[in-house]
Amino acid sequence: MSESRRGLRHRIGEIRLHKLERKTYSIGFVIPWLLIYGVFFVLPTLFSFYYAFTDWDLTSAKFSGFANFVEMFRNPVFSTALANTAIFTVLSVVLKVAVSLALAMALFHCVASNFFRTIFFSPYVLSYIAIGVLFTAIMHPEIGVLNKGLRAIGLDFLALNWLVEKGQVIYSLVFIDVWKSAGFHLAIFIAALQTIPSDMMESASIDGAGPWKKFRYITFPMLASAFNANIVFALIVGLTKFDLVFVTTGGGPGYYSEVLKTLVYKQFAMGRYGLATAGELIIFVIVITLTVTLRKFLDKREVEA
Amino acid sequence: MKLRSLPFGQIALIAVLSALSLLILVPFYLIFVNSLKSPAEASELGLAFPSKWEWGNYEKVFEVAKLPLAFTNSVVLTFSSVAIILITAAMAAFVMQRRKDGLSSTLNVLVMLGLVVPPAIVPLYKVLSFFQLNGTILGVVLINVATRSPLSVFLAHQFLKSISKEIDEAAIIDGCGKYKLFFRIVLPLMGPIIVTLFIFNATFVWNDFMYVLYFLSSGKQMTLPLTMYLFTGQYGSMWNLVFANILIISAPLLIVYFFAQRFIIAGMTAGAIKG
Repeated sequence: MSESRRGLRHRIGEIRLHKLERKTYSIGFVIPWLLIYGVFFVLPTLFSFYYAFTDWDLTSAKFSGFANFVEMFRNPVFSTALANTAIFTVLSVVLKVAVSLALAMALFHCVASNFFRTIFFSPYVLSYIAIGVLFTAIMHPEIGVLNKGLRAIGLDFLALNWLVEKGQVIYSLVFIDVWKSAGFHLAIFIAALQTIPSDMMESASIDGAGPWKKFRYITFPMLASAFNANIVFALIVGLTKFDLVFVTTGGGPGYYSEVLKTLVYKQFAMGRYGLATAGELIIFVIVITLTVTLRKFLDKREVEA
Repeated sequence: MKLRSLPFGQIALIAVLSALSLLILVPFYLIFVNSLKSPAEASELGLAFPSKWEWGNYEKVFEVAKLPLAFTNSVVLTFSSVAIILITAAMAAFVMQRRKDGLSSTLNVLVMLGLVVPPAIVPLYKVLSFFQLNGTILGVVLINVATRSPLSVFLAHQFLKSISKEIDEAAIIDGCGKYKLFFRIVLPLMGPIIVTLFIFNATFVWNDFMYVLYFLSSGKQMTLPLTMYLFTGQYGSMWNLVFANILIISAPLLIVYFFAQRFIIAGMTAGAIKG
């Protein structure tokens, strides 16, 4: 009897607390964010599912079925842009992670690690406009510093037509993006390295583990979440790359360095809004599919490691 | 034995890292030295010192690019975007973290979507037109808030877990209202995360030009990064001015970076680590 009464009193108390909680943490606090996010992010995303299927210019939007997608897929520039986006994404993810991991390991064992981290991170605060223009100067085929330097040390065969040759340009853009972002990914790895307890390493040394074994069985697994963060971040950045390409080459020469986002922007600039929206929807599907798949794969590996 | 071999290893490591640093430092030097040359010398794009240091290049860039206007626009755009992101994200995260009900989990899903889904930029044109915000800085501010805030909400949410709910309870028992509780007690405790969010949002908005390119066209709303186009277009060969302009548009963030780099690196990587 008294048991159940106490239980009842407890429940009434809980309900009261719940009410108080809803009053204190009122929905009013959420509304400003929800409003802006809803109107300027969720709404346009929902709109895109409609406008991608219309012939939409400034004044009117007529339903046109899959016409935009058909036109997009038939456009030879689209397949170039898709291929370039794939090359850019895969290469930039691999290189950013590999280069920054190697640098992180070096910096972690270096007495002047803060000094070098400051230097390596600094390009990350530059605007892509500045970086793009800077590299058109550095990568100038005849008088650019890069080729002059390579020739000076006898590596003439490496003095390429970085930004002007059709088969080369997308790789040069990858290089520039790695130049800018390696320090950022490096900082993430360093932050993770600093969380590895030092006694773990010491006891491994006492047990006779060499540097490679320590890396393979301690450092590498302990870096799993930093890895995943770096990979997913670089993946999304790669798939939606716009700024660097737009500034440095404008998708050129011709359309040899066109990526999906620059293609979409060009359609938009020409007033072909329906077509541009269809392009964005394609990017949307690619990003969601790859990110979700990769996340699932990486999370599974993280648990196993 | 081991101690004695350490310095050599360190010296080798430092030598290698210094060589690699040149990949970063030479481009910075290139910008600086060429920004002070005559047009003819700068067009050689080389590393030599100028025969005459042309400090007047900076004055020219100031005039041609109407820098005071562009700078003001960048400041207005950046600070209003970041201010709105900070306050709305902090409030939303507060309720999200403190409540354990349907509202909280719905918001969580919305935030997660915002972290991955690329913004639909073209349909934004329609939304902006509806509010007659096309071609206005306010329009771009709201787009920045909408597209960049999910990460801030997410990180603020994570941070709030470290502020005990008992503080809220004690405040309420003392007769503190909900607004006073948030603005006077919880928000000040969120100081560290606010600094982090301020830094990375400000950096990205300051450097961004995609939204500006899409939605602001006329010269009056020119932001600092876009002034670059004034020199690469009609002044195609004026490399000295191009380099001076690169330095000018990069200087504000670089200066802040060198003085507050610890906070900046921590701030900018926090987003990726937790996300």
